[in-house]
Amino acid sequence: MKVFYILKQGVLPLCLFVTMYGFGQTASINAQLSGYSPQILQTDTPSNLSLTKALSELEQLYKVTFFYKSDELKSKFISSRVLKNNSLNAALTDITIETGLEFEKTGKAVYTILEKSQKSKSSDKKRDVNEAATSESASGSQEVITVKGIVYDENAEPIPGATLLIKGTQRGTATNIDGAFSIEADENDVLQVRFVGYQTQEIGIAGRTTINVNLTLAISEFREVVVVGYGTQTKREVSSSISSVNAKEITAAPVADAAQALQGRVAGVTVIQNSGAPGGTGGTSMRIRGISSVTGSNNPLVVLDGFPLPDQTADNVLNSISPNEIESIDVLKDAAAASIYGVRGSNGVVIINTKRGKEGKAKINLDVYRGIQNSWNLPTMLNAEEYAIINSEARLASGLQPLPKLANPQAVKNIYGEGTDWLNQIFRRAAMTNASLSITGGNDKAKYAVSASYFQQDGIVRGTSFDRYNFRFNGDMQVSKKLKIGNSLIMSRTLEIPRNTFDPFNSLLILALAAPPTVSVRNPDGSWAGGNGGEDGYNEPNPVYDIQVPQFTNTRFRSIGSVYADYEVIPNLTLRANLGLDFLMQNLRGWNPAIPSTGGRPIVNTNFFDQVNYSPSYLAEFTANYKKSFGDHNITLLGGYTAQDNTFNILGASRNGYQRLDLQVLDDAAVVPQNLTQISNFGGYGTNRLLSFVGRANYDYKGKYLFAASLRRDGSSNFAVGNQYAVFPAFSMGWNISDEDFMKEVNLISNLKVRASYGLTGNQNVPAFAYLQRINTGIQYPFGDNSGPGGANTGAAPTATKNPNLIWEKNEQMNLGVDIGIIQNRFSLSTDVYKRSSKDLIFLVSPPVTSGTYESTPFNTGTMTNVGIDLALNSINTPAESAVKWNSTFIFSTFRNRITDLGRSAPIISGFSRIEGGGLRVTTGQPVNYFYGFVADGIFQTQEEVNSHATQTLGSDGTNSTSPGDIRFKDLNGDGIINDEDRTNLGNSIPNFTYGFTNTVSYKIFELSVFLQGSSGNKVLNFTRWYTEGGVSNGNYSKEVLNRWIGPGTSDHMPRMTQADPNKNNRVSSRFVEDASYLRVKNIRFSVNLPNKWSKSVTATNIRFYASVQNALTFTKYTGFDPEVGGGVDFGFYPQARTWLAGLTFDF
Amino acid sequence: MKSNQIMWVTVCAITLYLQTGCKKDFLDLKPNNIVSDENFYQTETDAIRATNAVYTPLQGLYNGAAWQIIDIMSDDADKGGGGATDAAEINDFDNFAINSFNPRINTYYTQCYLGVQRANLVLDKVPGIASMSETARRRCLGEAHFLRGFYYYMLVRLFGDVPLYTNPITLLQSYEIKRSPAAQVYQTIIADLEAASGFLPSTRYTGVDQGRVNSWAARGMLASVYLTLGNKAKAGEEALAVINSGVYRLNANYGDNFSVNTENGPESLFEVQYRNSGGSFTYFGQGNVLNCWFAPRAQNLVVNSGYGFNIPTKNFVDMYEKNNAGQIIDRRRAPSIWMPGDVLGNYTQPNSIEGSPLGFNVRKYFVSITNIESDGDGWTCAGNVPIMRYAEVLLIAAEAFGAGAGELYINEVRTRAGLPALQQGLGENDYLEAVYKERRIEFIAEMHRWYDLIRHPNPNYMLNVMRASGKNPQPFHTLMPLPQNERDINLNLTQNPGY
Repeated sequence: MKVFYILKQGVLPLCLFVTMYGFGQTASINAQLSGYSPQILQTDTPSNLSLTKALSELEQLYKVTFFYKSDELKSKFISSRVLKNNSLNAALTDITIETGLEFEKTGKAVYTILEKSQKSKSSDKKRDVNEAATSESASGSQEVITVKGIVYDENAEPIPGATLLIKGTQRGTATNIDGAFSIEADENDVLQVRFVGYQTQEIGIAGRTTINVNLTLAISEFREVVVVGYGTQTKREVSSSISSVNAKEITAAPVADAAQALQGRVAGVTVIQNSGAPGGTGGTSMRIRGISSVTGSNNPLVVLDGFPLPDQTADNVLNSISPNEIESIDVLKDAAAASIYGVRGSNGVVIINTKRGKEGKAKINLDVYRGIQNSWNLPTMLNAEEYAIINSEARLASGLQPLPKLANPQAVKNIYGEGTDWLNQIFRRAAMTNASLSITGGNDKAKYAVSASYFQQDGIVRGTSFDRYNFRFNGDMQVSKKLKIGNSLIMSRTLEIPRNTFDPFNSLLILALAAPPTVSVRNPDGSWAGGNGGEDGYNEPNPVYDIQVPQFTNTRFRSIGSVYADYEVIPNLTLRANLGLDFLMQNLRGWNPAIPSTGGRPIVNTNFFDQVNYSPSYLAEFTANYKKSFGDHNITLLGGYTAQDNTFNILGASRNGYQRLDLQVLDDAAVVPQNLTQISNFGGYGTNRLLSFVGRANYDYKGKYLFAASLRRDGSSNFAVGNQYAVFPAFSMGWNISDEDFMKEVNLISNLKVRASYGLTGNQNVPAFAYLQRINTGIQYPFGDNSGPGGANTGAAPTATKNPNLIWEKNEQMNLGVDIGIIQNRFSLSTDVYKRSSKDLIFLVSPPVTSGTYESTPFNTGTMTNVGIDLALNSINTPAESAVKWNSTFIFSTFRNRITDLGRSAPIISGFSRIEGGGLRVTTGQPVNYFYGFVADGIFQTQEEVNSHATQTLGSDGTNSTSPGDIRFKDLNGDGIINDEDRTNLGNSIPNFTYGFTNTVSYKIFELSVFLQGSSGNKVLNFTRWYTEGGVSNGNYSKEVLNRWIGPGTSDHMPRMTQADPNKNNRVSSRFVEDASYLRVKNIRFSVNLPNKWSKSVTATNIRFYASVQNALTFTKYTGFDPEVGGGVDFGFYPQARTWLAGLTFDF
Repeated sequence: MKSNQIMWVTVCAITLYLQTGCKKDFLDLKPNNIVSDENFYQTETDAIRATNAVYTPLQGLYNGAAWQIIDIMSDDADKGGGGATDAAEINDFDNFAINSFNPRINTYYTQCYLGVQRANLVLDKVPGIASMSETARRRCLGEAHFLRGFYYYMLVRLFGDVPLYTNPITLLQSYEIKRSPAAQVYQTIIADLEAASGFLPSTRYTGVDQGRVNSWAARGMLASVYLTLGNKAKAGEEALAVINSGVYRLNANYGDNFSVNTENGPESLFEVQYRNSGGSFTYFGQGNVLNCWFAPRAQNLVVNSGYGFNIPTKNFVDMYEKNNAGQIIDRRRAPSIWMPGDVLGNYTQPNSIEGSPLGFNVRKYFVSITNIESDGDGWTCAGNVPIMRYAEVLLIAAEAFGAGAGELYINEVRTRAGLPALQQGLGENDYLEAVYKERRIEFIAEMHRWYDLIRHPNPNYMLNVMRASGKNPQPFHTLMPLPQNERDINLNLTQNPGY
């Protein structure tokens, strides 16, 4: 049914008019004015209430929504008596009486407020549109035409209930449930299109009969909702630091893991994709405002539909959810926001809510895209001839004869040509596909959102892939006036085919870098080649063998579900019970067949392993919410209990000696073990529980002065009785300065708010029962006459001392923030300055051996600080009425990290296991995990230079001592010897700043979005060069070595080639430290809303076509695969792909 | 009641129940996937396992510290190996350039305290275990007393005053504990060994319990302690008790004491038990490393070709008694050391080997590479290392009873070695010197010599003998430095003079 309104002249410019999707009823309340005067009533009760507050109360009370232009109501006050009415109608009548405002019901439970004065100017009642049309056409002088079209929102979804008005007249209409309208107008009329929360548009009809309208969001904080822990607030009310990302931004990039979609979108959040492995399976590290723990996890808590998910060791908790299903991601950054999550809040909180049903006709959305990925930055390696030259040169320099096979480079060229291109052997062009279907809808009693999606991504490294099936059902039911129940349910199955792309010994990438071009993939007889030393002198395994022969799968089934019940006990007080389950079942399988030729990886017995990890987490929450206004004083109270139980179970088994290669299962049919050596079984189990009280109080005065306090008391089973509970308080204040009278005159500034907060959060990443005196049961001593391996008696004793006082790491955070909106919020800026102080950091402290133990014990010792700035800038670069829309968003984050005290812990060294000396170090006064090594200072050009410099390596000649062509290392302590004491801080992987810059330009049905993202000042210890510049015995080299030192003056950076490397040119030094700053054109996306008539032809309301390219361009000086390196030490991670894709979205 | 109210009450009741009812035990999880002191020390098996663990530090002590310090520091041996930079920290003992950072010192100290604390835990926990037999309880307590006494004995001889505690020490106490006077440590040692002797059985263990100590091991060790303290009467008394027990006798073949096939033999009072395949390339595995470290360097007689450390000095080799033709007649020579011309199968010991210019090597603990069962993958030799043999008990008796009365015992040892009886009528000093010489030869590479040198009644004995042998220790070298890393975290630990 099409519904039309005639709206009163003069009302529209002041009113924002809206309906919910379930626009369908036309009843209106036109309370007649009576003879009462407002003054009389004001004396009726002394307690005056601001009208806006009163409306807000009524909204709560009667579950209705009012729309109005706040300015006109701000100055109005009414008596609190109106709230004492026992029906909405009576209350509205009272307000009309007191203020002269009228209420028009413009939708289901939606009222638009009209001002009495304006209304009274017109004596006209609402009329049927036909009547209006008739009357207007009668008086018209120009040709009257019927204009039809559809009004779309920013997501190209139709907007029901948008109002259209012929400018300068009283004639108008509203869009129907499909967003369509039809209006009679003169051909030269101008159409005004309005919808609440959107910018009003004026469109000249210019004789057209079909006009589709795309409305853009008004940049107003008005009613913008922010999700906070255990509730929501309007953005105006928030005094802590929270950033939100909407569905459109999340789905802009073709990623499996929504965490990747946050990269460059949220100020203060550093997202690093640790790997380009498909499906985000290599992990995405999200770091909110720096680093809070050295030994524990730095992953933020992820709360999905109210369920706090257990921390996952691999940072890919999110890749079992389809980004299409996500409605919003809110990032709680400061402690005031996060401390409601207490002991899990130290690393910030990421709250993800999936889409829920809305009232109205069922909406069906189908989105399909398909893309192609390829690598974009593979290093260039030596060809066969160059390799023969360099390898022979390096061998001669080490006193070795050239390999006979390589002795004559020309012959090598004749035989091998360019040689094997190993990188080409392991990389490929790969496809990705995504399809998702969702149906949402509902009525005033029940709402639903159901979806199914499929995602498939092949990796650009051969043999890797990921696919995922998702199903979701979210429902909300109003059982009675006071009782509402609902559920959230996500089910997924992911299948990952992983390969080793991460370990410094066997990563496919480094095996492919190092494999000589003169080695073939297979021998002439078809068997696997390589890896056997011999004539190649090269022992590393064959990466193509590793891709094709051993097989692994990682299947995960995850169901995250919860049911809730809301019961409104008395007005304003709601109780909620929420019960949830996160059920993770993971199955890992591996098949290692014994085949005759092994590519350097001998497998004697065919082996199969099968492991099941079963990890349920249960949640129970009981909260009470109370919200009430007392005059200008508004309070919201929250209190409740939550309990959560996390358990993991691991059960695994492997069998040797499969006699046939086709039955790759753990089943008696496939293998019947003949003896114990063919059997290996293993298991693991652990559980921990949290029991918590949460409380929060919000108070504001006239919405201007905001105060919030929260408290969480967390109890964890991980700690000793007496240390189980800790209290995490937080406070914040805000001042909406722009609401002050003195700001009313400042027209330039439309919004100004300052915020300050302080809070305490914890980090519970302590192993369960770490406080106990553990008994090491692996101690042995062989009594008796058994000398063989079976002869040991078991012994048991503590090998680490206990620390019953172990408690949580704590984080204190102070935050100061300013939000500024300029020119009707066309430009808005939000910036925060923060200081995080981490204390009671847990370090593993070596005990005095007098204690009779030698293993480290976790101790709360040490402190660390992070100081930083977040900045987000939004700008609407084109005026509202412009046909071309151009919006920009700029995000900037920076922080400084410093270990202020290591306490009882010794400096910690970690890093790269193939080079002695680690490479990463933690010491007091420095950022965590800085690079620690020697300072390379050019190349010795002559023997005199070697002799005059501090002693590096002494020997008899160039085969065993430092010689011209070797790297000169700085003698930092001036003792004349280059040794471990000459190592220093070589920089770190923490960027000076990171940024994201999004520009969206739209014109009519076209939209182009360009997203730039970058990092500046981050360094990477590029150990891929260790492999490609001579680290692997007889391995291949990168083209860079062609610029090596071959005589005085030939090079000052690439040392001579030598296999023995007596000078240790390949040690951890500044030679390998590179500036990995980068600027990336992360995503370019172009979309077209197909013309309406095309959509109609397939009964769709809208069809959109889009094409995008991910990782389009990367500007960097970094020489490795990819400058985005998690942890800062690059030993050949899976590089990110460049992805081209095209997609279609249908709305029905 | 209206349905609303019923619901309201129900919800409140559930909430209250969950707040109070659950709260009490919800967090009280039993640590059911962890063995901790809350669920250990409950059964006889637990007690035995706790006691077994007290023995384990012996393996690391004898692999990773004892020979490097006690043998190489003495006039018996030089470092050997592959030159100055090869295991450089051992050079420091050979050259008396010892400092408190030396890792072998640290290993010695650490392994002893691992043993002390584990023994304390047994002595603290085992008396309270309800469900165990008294026999087992006495055995556990006795072994713990013995081993604690032994570890302290090892500590006090090397470091002098050391931290002394006889209850399980807490982490915080270990940050603050002070050194106790050596005399007090010796009192504890004597008390422990006497207690052990009271608890332990007086028969030799056989079968699966071979390698455990009995009361005679305790009394033998007590004799050694008294001898070190200069109490010859008590030393003689304890040694005689062992001798008169009749439980022990000398192996007819001296070499059987060091052979993997005849370990825990009739002469063995106490030896470190090793087995193979228990962790390669570590001092702290289940196998002994001595086979690999002592075997002639790079001669491929053992797994990993042999490292050639702990080279017997010419000064030592010259001690062997010879016939008129200048040939060594002592039967102990061949099982003890390699000399040029020694033949094993196709192998002939050369006149000179890297690290051993005179072609000397230790042959004790040798297991040929052909016996790969003994050493599967390097540093994992199954052969045991004797700590106290009956021969030592005899020589303690010989020394304690002095010239005349003691000669019976020294001659028993000399007879087995194929030597004539000791010349009778020696003066007291000459007799003592004869016993010292006998000990030196009998126990070459058994990690006794340094402690003999410093316990001699003549306080300058060590300096005189050492300097005569060509090494140059200082007087303060009678005590080793406490490990510096330990002193860095426990500021109450003083250092011995000279370091």
